[in-house]
Amino acid sequence: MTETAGLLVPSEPMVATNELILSVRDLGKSYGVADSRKEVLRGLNLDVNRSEFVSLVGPSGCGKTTLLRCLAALMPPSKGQVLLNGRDVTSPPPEIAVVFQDYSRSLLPWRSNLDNVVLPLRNKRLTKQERYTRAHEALESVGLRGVHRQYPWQLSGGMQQRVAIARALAYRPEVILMDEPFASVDAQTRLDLEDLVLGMRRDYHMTIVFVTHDIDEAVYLSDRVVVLGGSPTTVRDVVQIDLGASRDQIASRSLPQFAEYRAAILKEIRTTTDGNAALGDH
Amino acid sequence: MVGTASIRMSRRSTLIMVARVAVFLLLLAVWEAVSASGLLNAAFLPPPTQVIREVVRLLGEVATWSALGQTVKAWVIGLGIALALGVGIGIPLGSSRFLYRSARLVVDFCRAIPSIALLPLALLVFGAKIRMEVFLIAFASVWIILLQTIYGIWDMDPRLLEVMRSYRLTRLQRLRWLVLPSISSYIATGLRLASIVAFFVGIGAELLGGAPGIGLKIQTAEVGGSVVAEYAYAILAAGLALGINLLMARSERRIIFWRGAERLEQQ
Repeated sequence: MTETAGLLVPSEPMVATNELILSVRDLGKSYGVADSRKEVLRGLNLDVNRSEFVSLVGPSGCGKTTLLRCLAALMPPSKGQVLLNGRDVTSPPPEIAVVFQDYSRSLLPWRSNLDNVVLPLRNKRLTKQERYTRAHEALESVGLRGVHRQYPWQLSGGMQQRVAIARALAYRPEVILMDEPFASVDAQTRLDLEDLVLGMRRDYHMTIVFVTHDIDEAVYLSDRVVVLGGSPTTVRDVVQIDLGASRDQIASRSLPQFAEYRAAILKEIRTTTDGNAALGDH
Repeated sequence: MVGTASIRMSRRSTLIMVARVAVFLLLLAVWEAVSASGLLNAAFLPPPTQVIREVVRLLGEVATWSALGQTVKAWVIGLGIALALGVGIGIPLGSSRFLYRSARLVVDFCRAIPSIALLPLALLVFGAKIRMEVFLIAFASVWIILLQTIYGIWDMDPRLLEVMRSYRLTRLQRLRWLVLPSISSYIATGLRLASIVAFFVGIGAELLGGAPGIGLKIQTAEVGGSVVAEYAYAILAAGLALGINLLMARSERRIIFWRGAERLEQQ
């Protein structure tokens, strides 16, 4: 059942462990009642190791976001369970932070960027000084300087998403769940943010579960790509990505294996949608 | 480009100011002419010059200021109570469809009662005191603020709530840092709308119910047969209403500073 993490180059810095951190057991989710009941997820199993980067890909509307919500305990599963460090997750745990796609709707417009980052730290046992130090550090490590007094709406989309990432980072979670975090930023910013997340994971040994509909992005970032599909949705395939621990936007994407992984995943997604043009919302 | 546009704008706003003053002077001129022509009984329509002189004279009297103060005091307290109740009840009603549906009939019914119709009852219970006026003001204003609060809750971004939940903010923290700021624009609009209703009801309660304030002064002038003073007090009341409206609109814009920027970004 347990998938071993794919990175076998020990000298490289970001190596996933074999220690299980997040585990999904026979998860099912249905919406609505009686006749209008719609089953979205069924019998879904997934294991994520500590410090691993796992991407979830699948055709749009297949329930990727629903799965992520269940992982974050923002939504109770109809069946099965989510285990974090072996414990059943029923309410949002302090070990998990979530970064959403729509950054402009996930930051408080009436609070400065710094305050947005500080806010979730209020319930941690930290002095005021420690909270602000952490927030400053987090903003710095996502490459934002001199914006802490400004408000989110004074920044570009990419920078707002950086603030949201800094907020997650300052929270010091063990796991960051990201729901298509770069789907609304321009292409160049997207590459920068991808490398930012990889660097973050390397520096803080974070476990990242990343939802995307962009196969290239999933291959580039991940140790493993989980292909979701079917109706109701379940895990169709798990692809181990052996591209080395350090990735480079140009070199990694030019590797012959990159194209192979990409083709394999795309093919799997195509078959799960019965040949219908798959990745709808591009 | 921006420069010329703003010059054009400021020229335009100067023109509007001039036009406003002109319309005002025109009104005074018509009033003066009608008053002088004897078209209406001059005893009931004194010339504006006389009324303005009376306004100036009244402004020199302590009693006038204390009457204005009493009117403002009742207005502030009544509106404050309406704000606390409207927001306090509006948040749970907005958050739960069940509560909203259960309460809706009562709310719609109470909202339909003209506050002035409650005046005799309020007089009986509270007497011709400021408490009676405060009650009527609060009753008249609370529904507007209540509904605005409910609409504000309905319009809240569920994503933000989810984010705050994932960061384990407690209910109270979410209320303070998310819900209240989120709905503040709705509450501010409700407060602005309610403030004028509250003022009118307050004046009514003073004039008809005898609570102390500028309305009672109008009533006293009427009884004393001083038509000029009646007009003067009415003008003072109007000035107060105008000031209140201006103040509310100003503070509304200042409190919700992020609103304009959000709109700008979306364009």
